Amino acid sequence: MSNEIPGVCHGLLPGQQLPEQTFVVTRADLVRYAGAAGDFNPIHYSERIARAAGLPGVVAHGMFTMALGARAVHAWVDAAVTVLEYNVRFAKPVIVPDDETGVRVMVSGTVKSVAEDGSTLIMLTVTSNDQKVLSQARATVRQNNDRIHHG
Amino acid sequence: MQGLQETPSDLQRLAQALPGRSYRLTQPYEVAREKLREFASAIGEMDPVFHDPAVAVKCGFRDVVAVPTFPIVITFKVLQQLLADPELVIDLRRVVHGDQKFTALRPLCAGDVLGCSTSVTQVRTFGGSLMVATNSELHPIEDPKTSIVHAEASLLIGAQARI
Repeated sequence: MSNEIPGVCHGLLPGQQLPEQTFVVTRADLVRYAGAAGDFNPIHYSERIARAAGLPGVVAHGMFTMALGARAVHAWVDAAVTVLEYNVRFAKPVIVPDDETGVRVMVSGTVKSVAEDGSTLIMLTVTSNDQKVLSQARATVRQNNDRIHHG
Repeated sequence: MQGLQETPSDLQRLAQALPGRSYRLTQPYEVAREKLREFASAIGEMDPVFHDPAVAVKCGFRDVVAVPTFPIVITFKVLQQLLADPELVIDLRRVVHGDQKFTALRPLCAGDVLGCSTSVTQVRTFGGSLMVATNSELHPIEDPKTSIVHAEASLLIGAQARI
């Protein structure tokens, strides 16, 4: 269906609300992310250093939270989509407790606009513990054209 | 927290030293399938388009495609040069990531061999701290003029942790 009009993402329409995605973040996730990203800032694994830096405890990498936002976007569109633009402001840290339960990060979205070429602008709302952790979060996505290979 | 705080003169010194600084990757970055899979798995993204080349090709990509925030792996390497620059002397405990933007001119895929250059584009005082805006360009190693991903990051230096 999405192939009939090149570029249109899964038939997303302006104003459409996108279903909330919930992600659980544990300390183990932060350790794994630190390794994969090469970001070993100790505020993301050491309670002692996080507190010395004035934080209430260990916090998730901002980039990890941003990555969860992109996961939500990916869940709303299909796999044959390129994220053309993605930006966020890190408003509040996501505080990750030292237990197995972790903390939940919720991402919801609204389709703001669909351009003529199918580029679709999605506004994201990202919260944890009822606080906005990312602000001004927005992604522009476009369906890949079947006839050309991207990348 | 007294010991961690940059003094106003430190910030003034940085405000003068930072504008126009630029850094680049010293070695080409080879985007490997296994690294893309490892990074995707680390954020819990298990969609096969980020893991399986056959699925990626079916979806219109040349090879396994990078998740949208993957370029930070490369730009962070260059930003670390700035943060560790002996001419600047920045207290890492007082650096907060303010915002981040990625603009992809085409998707990043396994097999890309990239260079990255980062420059400080703007420095301004922002309530007792410095807001440092940086631009990074990821480009094919053989063609430094063609950007594949453009990344903008702002760092707050001397900021209080925001709770």
